[in-house]
Amino acid sequence: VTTAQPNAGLADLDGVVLDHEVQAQLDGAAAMAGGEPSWRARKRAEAHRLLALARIAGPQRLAVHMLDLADEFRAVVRLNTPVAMTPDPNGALRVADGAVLGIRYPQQALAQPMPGFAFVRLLSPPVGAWYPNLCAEHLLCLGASMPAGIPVTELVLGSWGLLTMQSVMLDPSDHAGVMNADAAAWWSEHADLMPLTAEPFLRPDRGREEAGPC
Amino acid sequence: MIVPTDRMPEFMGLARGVNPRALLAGTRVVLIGVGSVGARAALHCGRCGVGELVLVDGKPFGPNFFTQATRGARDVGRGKASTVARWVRAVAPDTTVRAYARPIEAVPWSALEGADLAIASTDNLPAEVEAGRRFLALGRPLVMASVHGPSLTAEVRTFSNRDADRPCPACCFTEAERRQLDGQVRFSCDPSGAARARVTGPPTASVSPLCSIAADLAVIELLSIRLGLGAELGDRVRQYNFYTHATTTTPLARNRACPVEHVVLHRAAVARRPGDCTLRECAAAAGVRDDDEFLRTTIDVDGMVYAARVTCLRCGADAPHHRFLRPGAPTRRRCASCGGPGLVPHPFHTHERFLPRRAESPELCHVPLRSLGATPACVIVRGPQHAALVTHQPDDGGPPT
Repeated sequence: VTTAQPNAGLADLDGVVLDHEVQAQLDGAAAMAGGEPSWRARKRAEAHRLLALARIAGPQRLAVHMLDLADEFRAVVRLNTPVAMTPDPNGALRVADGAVLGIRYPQQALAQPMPGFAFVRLLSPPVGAWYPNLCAEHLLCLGASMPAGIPVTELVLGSWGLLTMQSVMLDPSDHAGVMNADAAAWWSEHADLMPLTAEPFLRPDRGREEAGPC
Repeated sequence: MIVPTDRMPEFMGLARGVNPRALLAGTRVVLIGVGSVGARAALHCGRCGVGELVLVDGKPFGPNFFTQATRGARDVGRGKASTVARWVRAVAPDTTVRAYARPIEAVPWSALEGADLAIASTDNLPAEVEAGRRFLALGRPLVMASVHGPSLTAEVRTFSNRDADRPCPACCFTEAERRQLDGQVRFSCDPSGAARARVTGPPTASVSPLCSIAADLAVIELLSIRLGLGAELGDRVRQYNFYTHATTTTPLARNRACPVEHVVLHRAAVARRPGDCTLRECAAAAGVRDDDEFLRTTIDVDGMVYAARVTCLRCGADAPHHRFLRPGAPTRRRCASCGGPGLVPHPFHTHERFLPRRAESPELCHVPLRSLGATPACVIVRGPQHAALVTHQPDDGGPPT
């Protein structure tokens, strides 16, 4: 058990020192990384930043369960966030606790813009999540276009914004559209429930408590 | 019957014994983008007697009569690839024309792998990058034609793609260009395999003759490369400015920070169709003999994805699948948990490349691809030491059946 680095912020992720076990997890994934040297180095750097983000956010916010750098960048993370679920028969919103996300980042995303749903899949809860920007296959749409080379940590922060409904797109007439029109209509009528939490991703009191390995 | 007049010139400097007409008749050219520039280039290729053209363009003609070579309103809304194919067949009945009405990203490698050369003329960044990546991997020259209307400049960039240290189109983008194009590309929120990049910036403004000149220059470059005329094939950009009538040639070099994969695939052959071979056999044909290296390879089965798991959209249950599928194709499996009608490939566990290391069951590497649902025309193997495009070549060395 170690203490998270209290002063580290999103701009300091490259300098965050990882716990021994986490560093070993990163080294193990990097040893199996495939592709050209520049792509391997980029995957390792993205993995380090993701683990560093988990480190400074603390396990009560983000935990990295799996890293796979063999081909594309792949990770499974647990994001401790409220998750909106399909309203019950009385129309009341149900809320689940925590989301498991599968993140995929192909090499082509370094060179060209990608669709907003290209990166993040909601693995858990497996069904019933209730978001305008979540499709039937549980892909999260983070925007109309993701710029080339977007960092993985931005995908995590974007997912936080989407799942907490701090950032939301409800307008089906927007050219990018919504992925669940029923949910968009429901949320338009229940705008008072947004956001599910107003907490920022990095809590101001982080680092003042003991944090476990990420 | 009309017999066309043969007016092929006796090119100066043509190597002795080379018959240009025969050489061009045996040439296959891929045209990526057949709009204002590419349609004209396709027609030139047909008139020059190029034997086979592959036209790639996923868009229909719009009401842009200012630069496009359309025949007017009747062509608006028609697919560019199929329409231009029809035009080429009309002027060059001996040319085989295949049209792919889809973006280059969705064209199978087997449609491109026999090409001798490609011409790209598109204002779509993802298409340019993908065309560059693919023809670098295939080791075949790529000529990119474009125009800058306000300065009356026509430009032809030539990528020799001789080896992996050569530049690709993405090597030439400046950071400002990347940012600008990032801001111009939008996608629809439709993950059903139909997501298409849409360039939202202002359309390329030009005039019809400038587009025509860019097409002319691209096809002249093609003839020079194919017939070995003039300067040696190199990596360069040639700009022709019609204010100053100046011609500028600038060499292109690889950008070491280029984010695009720079790999040239060598050609390898298997004696049976790839669908009748195992993944291990395909890798062995590519030169991967060592088991350790095999575990570090990635394998593309052309035009297919590998679904390690499938998921039920109704109840969320997922199950092992271990089959290759066409992107977007149904699995024809019912959910064992809820009886739901359609299990779909699990988005997180469906891969464009198969990784032997990740295979939950090593036996998958030792059964014919056909039994895993794949009957590809080619397979691409990438390992730490070997990278190859594997196709069928019968033992007698004759053409594949």
